[in-house]
Amino acid sequence: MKRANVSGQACALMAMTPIAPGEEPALRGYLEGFRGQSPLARLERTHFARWVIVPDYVNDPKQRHEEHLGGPYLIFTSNFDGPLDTYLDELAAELADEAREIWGRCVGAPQTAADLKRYLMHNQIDTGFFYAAYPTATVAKVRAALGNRDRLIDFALRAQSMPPQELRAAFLAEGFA
Amino acid sequence: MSSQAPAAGPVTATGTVSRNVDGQAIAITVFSTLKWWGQAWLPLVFLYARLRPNSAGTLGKLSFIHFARWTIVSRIPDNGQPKPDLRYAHLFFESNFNGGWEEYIDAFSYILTRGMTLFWGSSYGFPKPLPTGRFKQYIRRNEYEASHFYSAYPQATTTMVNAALTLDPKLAAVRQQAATMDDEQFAAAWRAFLTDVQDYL
Amino acid sequence: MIDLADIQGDIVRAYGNAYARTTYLFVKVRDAEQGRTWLSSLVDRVTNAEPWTEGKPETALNLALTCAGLQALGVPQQTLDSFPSEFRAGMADRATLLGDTGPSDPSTWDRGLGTGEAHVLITVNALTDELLDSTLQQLETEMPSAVTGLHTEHGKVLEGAREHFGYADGFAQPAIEGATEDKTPGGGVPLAEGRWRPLALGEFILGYEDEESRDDPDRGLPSAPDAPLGRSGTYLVWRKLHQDVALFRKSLQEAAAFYEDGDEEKLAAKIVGRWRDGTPLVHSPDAADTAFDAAAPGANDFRYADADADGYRCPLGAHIRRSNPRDALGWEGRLSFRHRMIRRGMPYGPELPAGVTDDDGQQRGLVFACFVASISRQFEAVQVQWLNDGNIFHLGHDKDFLLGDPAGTGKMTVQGDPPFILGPQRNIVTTRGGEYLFVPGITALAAIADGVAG
Repeated sequence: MKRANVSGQACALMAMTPIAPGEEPALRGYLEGFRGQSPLARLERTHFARWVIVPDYVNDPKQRHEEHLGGPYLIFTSNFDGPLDTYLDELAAELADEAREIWGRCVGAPQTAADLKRYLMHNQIDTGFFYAAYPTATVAKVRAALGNRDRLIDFALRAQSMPPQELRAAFLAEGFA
Repeated sequence: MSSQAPAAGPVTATGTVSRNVDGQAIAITVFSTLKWWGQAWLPLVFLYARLRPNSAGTLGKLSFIHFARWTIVSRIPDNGQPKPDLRYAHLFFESNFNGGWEEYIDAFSYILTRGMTLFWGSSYGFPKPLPTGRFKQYIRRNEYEASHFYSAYPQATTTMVNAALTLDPKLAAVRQQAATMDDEQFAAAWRAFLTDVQDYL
Repeated sequence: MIDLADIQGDIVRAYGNAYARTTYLFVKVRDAEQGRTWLSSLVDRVTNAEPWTEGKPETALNLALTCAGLQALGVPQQTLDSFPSEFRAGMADRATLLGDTGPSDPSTWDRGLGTGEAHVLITVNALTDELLDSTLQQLETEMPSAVTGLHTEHGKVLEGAREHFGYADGFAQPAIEGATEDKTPGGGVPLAEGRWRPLALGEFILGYEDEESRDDPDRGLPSAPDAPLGRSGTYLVWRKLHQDVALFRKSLQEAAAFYEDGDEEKLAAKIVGRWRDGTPLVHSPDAADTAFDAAAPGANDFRYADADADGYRCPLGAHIRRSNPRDALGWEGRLSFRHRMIRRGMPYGPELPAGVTDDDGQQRGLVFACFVASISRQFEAVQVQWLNDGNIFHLGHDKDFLLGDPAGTGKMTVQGDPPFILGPQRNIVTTRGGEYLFVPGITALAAIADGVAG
């Protein structure tokens, strides 16, 4: 994977695939139906990801020539814990049903898990510049740290009224990892 | 002649439509058309940004952004679809951030002014970063809304994540102290710990 | 040149605390023609912003209208559509965004507020009770059958110009170019080397250049409603905030038990960022300054980035630091200078006698009233991102402690060595009603009354 796609252990993926004729409304409806119950939650190495439908490029009035994509495209981007190879394996395995509904509606639609991986790699576009605020932290690490912080704040508030004899024992009882 | 990316749904509290939002996290997706020289210029900008450790410094100090990227889309891979009739390359920008859409663009306009020009100066129609009103209009015209946006920790902002990550090793250290010190010693160590980590709570 | 004759009073320059009585009277208009005739009879009595040459008038009268009110008075839909969306939606519609949930939800609001029935707000300022009563009497007599009183709120200046939690309030205001430049040190935009500059008038009055116009080579004016309504007008954000004084006192007492040997006054100061008499913590971190005079030049001249970056003097989440960060967000105030507001609120309700920590069931609190050229940028953004959240200050989701927490669980870190964690954050402030209003200029008001507004 090109170095520009990587920052620390974080990776950026972008796949741009042509939507099959007539499939855009159904695809849109399917993706919008995920509200609150994202299948991406099953891909635990995913920090942030999105599906965006691009019906056409926006032409700026300053352009001398007008141009068109010739059909709608589906963009999938993900910011995840690398490496890409195993991430795509997991995606193909965990999101097999959804993949059929989503990329199954694209031209050149893949049939099998191996096909999906190949399809996404074929339509992958390398990043130019990737910024990650915490490039060395995995999703698991972030979640664990956030949980610790919440519990620590809670404890710190209670600890204010504790004399030394109570404090150390109470702290140990919290079981901070 | 110019089409506008379809806006769907009312703009919410965050200044953008609800499908671009997951908890505290906001998605912004922008495509702009590149002038001919942008294709040669931008890779240099990207290289410069990657090599200079400080270039991300201001982005980090602003601490709204979890992840962001700029990508040149020139050639669209062939899958048997009708070949797109494209003369220009395009610049793709995506960001995953917190706060409000307006405030985010304000920060870019007012503070990352030079950076904005470096990245978007070679795009057609890019007005200068200031006045913010025109720049916001430009972004809105070129923005696409997500059909689905996901965050693994939707309630956490970038500063909260950074605070939590900074806290972790310090918490481990004080836990060590709790295991080895007596009550009085630990009370003092705890006080020192709190003083040290107060900005992360 | 500012056309002070066309701008309503109390916006650019405050009327001042000599007007110890302020009554807010919301009325409903059931017939457009009757409403306009009635409005016509009032227009000449509306107090404008011109300086007084013969001392203070006995009373001052001002008018504001909700979007529903403009509609009720027959302003055409096309003109209404030229107003910003949040104004048209109304404050009640923005409840979730603003944090007016749970006990502050619009369903709990005082009758008539937030329902679309409030059309015109008449604000009467008077020097005495008698003058107030006679003015209100007269207004009532003059109302035609189609115009009825909907909600009345009586504001009253408390002793020492304090609000109900005991804090001196209202003296720190934005410095406006060509109008209140005396407030520039501390009230303006912070520049390098301790200097300040005043804000553009257009940040508060429509029809004038605002801060963004300065960056615009074509010097375009900021967006405003269609002529003739756009000129000399502004927006008024009006909120009735109930304060549970007993609960506040009790919480303070309980928390202070573990704070610096029970220094309640210091803890109270830490919550706001000023001692209760108004002395800024940045200037006097250890004790209130008995010589503090809010009106003295330089009284409000302080900033955070150099002297108090760590918040050991004025906590990072203190009320005044949140509502007006000055240079605390870095980059010489560039992330905060577009979010200033002119505040004119008044306390309402009887005072809870000193030392009482049990609620007496009386209605008391603050009528929060601010004037801004953009409700979403200068009020909502502040409420949502600076007061009801802490992320921009690196305080996670901590809310402004002074405004309370409907869930009753929040906390505030008081920075120091060691820090003090103040909590839990009780529900000490509840919203009892609110409206977004448009304050037309005098000409615009006359145009609405004449039915030619559009």
